Amino acid sequence: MSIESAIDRCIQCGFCLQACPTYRLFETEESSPRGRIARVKDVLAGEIAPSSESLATFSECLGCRACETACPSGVHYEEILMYGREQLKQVEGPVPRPLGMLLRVIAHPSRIRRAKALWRRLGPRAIRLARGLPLRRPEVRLLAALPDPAPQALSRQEQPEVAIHRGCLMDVFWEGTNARAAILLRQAGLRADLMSESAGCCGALHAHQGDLEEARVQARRVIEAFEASGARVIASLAGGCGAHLKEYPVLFRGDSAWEGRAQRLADAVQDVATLLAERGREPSASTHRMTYQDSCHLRNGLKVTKEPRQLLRGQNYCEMASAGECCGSAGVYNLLRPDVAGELLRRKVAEVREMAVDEVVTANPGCELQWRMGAREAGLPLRVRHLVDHLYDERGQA
Amino acid sequence: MSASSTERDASQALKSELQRCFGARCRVDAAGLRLYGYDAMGTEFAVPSAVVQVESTEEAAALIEIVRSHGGKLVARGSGTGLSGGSVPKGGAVVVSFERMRATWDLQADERTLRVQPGVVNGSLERLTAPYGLFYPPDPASYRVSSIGGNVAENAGGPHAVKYGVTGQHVRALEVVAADGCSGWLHAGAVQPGSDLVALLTGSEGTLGLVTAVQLQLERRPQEIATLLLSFLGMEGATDYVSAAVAAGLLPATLEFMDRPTIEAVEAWGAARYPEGAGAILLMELDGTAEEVAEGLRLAKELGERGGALAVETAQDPAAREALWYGRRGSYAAVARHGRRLLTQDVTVPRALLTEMLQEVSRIAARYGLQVATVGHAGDGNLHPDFPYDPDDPEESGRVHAANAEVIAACVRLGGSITGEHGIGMEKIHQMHVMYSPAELGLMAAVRRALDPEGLLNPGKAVPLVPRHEAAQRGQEYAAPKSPKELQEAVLWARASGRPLRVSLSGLRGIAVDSANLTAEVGAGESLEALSEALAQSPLAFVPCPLRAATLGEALLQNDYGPEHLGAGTLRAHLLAITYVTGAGELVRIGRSVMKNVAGYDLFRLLIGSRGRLGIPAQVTLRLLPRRAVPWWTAKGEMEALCAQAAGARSLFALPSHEGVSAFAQASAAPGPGWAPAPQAIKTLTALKEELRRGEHLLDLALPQVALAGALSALPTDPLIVLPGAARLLARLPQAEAREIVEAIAREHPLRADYGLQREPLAAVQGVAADWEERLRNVFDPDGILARYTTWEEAAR
Repeated sequence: MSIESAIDRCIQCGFCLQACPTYRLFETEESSPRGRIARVKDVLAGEIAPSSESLATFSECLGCRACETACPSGVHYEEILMYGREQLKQVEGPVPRPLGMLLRVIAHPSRIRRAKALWRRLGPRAIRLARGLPLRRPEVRLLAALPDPAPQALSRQEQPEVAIHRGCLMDVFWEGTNARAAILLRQAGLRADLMSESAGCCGALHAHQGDLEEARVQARRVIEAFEASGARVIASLAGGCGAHLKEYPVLFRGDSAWEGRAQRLADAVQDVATLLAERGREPSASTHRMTYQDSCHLRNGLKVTKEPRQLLRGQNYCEMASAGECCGSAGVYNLLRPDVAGELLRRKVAEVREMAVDEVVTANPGCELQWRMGAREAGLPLRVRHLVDHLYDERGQA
Repeated sequence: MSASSTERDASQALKSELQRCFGARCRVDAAGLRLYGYDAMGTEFAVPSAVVQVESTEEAAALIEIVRSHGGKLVARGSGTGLSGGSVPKGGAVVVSFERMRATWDLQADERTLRVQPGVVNGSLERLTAPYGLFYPPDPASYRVSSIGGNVAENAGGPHAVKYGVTGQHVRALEVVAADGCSGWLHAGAVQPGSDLVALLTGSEGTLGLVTAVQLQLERRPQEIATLLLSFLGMEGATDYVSAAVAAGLLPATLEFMDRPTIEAVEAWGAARYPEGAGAILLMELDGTAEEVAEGLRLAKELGERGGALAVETAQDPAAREALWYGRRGSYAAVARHGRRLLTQDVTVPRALLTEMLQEVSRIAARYGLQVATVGHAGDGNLHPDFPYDPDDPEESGRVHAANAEVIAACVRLGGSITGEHGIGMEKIHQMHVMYSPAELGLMAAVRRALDPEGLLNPGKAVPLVPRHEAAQRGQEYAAPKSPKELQEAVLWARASGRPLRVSLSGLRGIAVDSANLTAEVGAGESLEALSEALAQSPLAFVPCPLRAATLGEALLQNDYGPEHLGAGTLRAHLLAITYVTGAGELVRIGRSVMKNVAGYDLFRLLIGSRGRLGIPAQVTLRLLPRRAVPWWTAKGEMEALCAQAAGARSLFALPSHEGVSAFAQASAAPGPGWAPAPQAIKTLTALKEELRRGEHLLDLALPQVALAGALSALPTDPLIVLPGAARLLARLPQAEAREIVEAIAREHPLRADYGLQREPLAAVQGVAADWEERLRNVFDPDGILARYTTWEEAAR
């Protein structure tokens, strides 16, 4: 497989158009998956020179991969997107602050560890401070929407069969959620534990910014840590990370030393919701009127849609008509394109307001944060929790 | 200055002007333009000179003016999901994109109509119409993404066409911007005083005008839907089942088939799982009332058991049903997994010849050593053989294209159409002559030139601009020609001799029923009674029952229809082809004995309501339906209340009298309390028809339902009969009074009004419709032969 053969799968049927949030928003072929694929084709053929303008559509793309789910021809759009973003990075150079800084921090496990310690201490104060600031800059708005740190004690598990991928931002801001996932998995009869801190970040954010070199550095670290854990399953709590772990073989294509190892890891990836649902966990007994927001990567990358719903199903669950559509979080998209992300979120919040639900459950920290921000800024008394936190709080001790 | 640099300057000037007028909604950058150079056909590509996203009818009209004044060309585009290259901007045309015209308005639940802009996505109508218990039936595989504008341009079909008909049957009116920049609404069938211009525009692939708004005809959502999956060892088992189902009078809402290679592709995509060992499957949907569906299911299963089906599964819940459909709809793109590119065919044959055509396709594929995967709409003989191939392998490409040509030739040999729903576009423009004669193609080209003299719209697509085929013979006089050929002789004789044309259609006889195909070939001079008698012994029926016309020819030229239009539509939904002679003496047969045909212009439905001014029909191909014994009911009361109760009926008419209104409705159950069985309904209607046919002092009015109450109150006397729904009323009153009433209503509503046996309508056609009508008359009857032709009524009496 190569980028050319990935593109060649596309027969331009257009079935992806209405699945694409940016096409629906901008209503122009350039903002559609089919248009983006045609653009890469033109760039590869030398018809169009790669430039900030000609590749801008790849920074506009949310990377939600809803087009892949809609595609009957089996186009692996993720690969084309990665290529487009890589080309874009080559013409645009390093990622500017504050995202560039963030990417540098999460590139090192030691820095993640320090950030985590810092957040435990200063988190509540930083959130309060941000909440007092005028909500103009996207990073301030997101900071103000963060949940308070809620650490969770967790004992060690000898010879784990399930290794939980901690993630980078997840490990800093949702440290307790990771631990609670381990507890829920143990209740379900699985020997689960958090993976070593040395694994660090999966590299998804780097890959999505077109920095495939750095993404490979991260991936090798995760592969090594997983192999060292001796577990047969690597569990993810973040749809974005899980889907990216599945893409590791693409990153190492043609690299004989790593491709096989990447494939073995990809085959071992499971979302925590799948593991819990398979083990027949009872659905939530929450008395909240709740709904579920799919994580795009969980839905379109890992194809996990039924399991989270199975875990929430009950008299108080109602389905959001647009559950499968992106909320605008899309990794760090809401930092980069607050305009587009904000519009998608605004529509979502309006829909949920109509539905009169008390809680939105998500399966990815980015979505949780985006929804928290949306609810907070719209003045909506809406509870937003990660599926793991929801299940733990509602029936954790049961 | 060289010619090419002059051209460059002109093109530059056009771009500047467009940018000035449309700002950011006009794109001229090289990278952006290339993204509007393709559609879903995939193999055709051309870079447009500009892309303009219009937002209103006025903008579309302004755009036409600008492009025309700069000598440019224009191609309309919706979602770019066409499969015949119809929206590829050949020769660097300007693309007018309707992506931003996605508004919907004016949903009339009673009349089941909705107005939409052309960019509205077909699949988005579901959410809009469902709360009213309505739906929009045409559902091409691309319905989730394709636009209504594109659907209208191609006259899109889809699985539901077998029961509900194609896009054309669900278009009530179109707003068009003509090539000269003028715009206006065209109304279909019932309320259009002239020819059926909506039929002409639908399926014209953007070559006659830009459609900027559409009034859709919605249908009532069926009470129950059952989805069945039948699997067979091989394709023969499946097609035999279809024949048996048709013969048994089963009228499924959909009847789709997929062969083995397609099944494998869909399973590989993961969209659906089909029974193990299935060599062919049928996806059948039955809808209607709970009883109808239960009865249909019983019959379908019984036929399955008798016909050796491997398995008959019923989808138990909406999710399972959706999964079955999801696989079918994406099957085309899923088959693309078998090769790098896919050549997808779209041919139609008479239903009963489906097996033969499938065998022919297999033989052709084997002969050329090609893989073929075939899906299709078994219920209406429309099949899509898909050939996967590698476009960079010239030898393989050559074999695929040769095989493709043979498939096309084979379908024509079997009496079919070279395209059932994908359109001619660029793909088949060079194959139009395989299906249509030089005279037929010449007539289509003449129509195109008449409505777009400068060749502004979608050049190089749909209809080749061949020269008109002049009939050279001098003809011969016939008073009552007995064949199409004799009718042609008579017209030619009148042309050559300068004598008025005086022929009777009474000699044009013959009724040939093809019960396996559910069609009948009928001479235009046959009486409607003779047709009913001929069908009396068969399980089939011709549904329309015109009120005033004695013969089939008359009925179609007058666009006459009866109370059955409520459920079955007017005549236009029941005609498949017409053989006729134009005033210029061309003998043409437009349309085929197939349920779906979108090759070239619909120049046969155009004749409906044309009053003999465009051509004289000789032979008509009718669409028949399984006969249903549905009882009649009657009740007395207020018109409005009775009509509301009977809104879901198959047929409805009302007879007002000084004692109140008597309504008669045909429905499987009593429409409401107070309705009693009315076995005398048909007799009542037949007696009334006798009277109506004399036409004395008779006002015949067809107008939108909303205008009905006003019209009734304006009448000085009780009408003889009212057909609510579309709505039509016939009343006896002096001509001067009739004219006054008509003029008053015409100020607010489109309407059709006839008086007695007069040839000219009481309400004149106006605006774009009048202009088009005039241009068409010049094409079809350049010497005014038909204008002086003794009317069909007079000739017949």
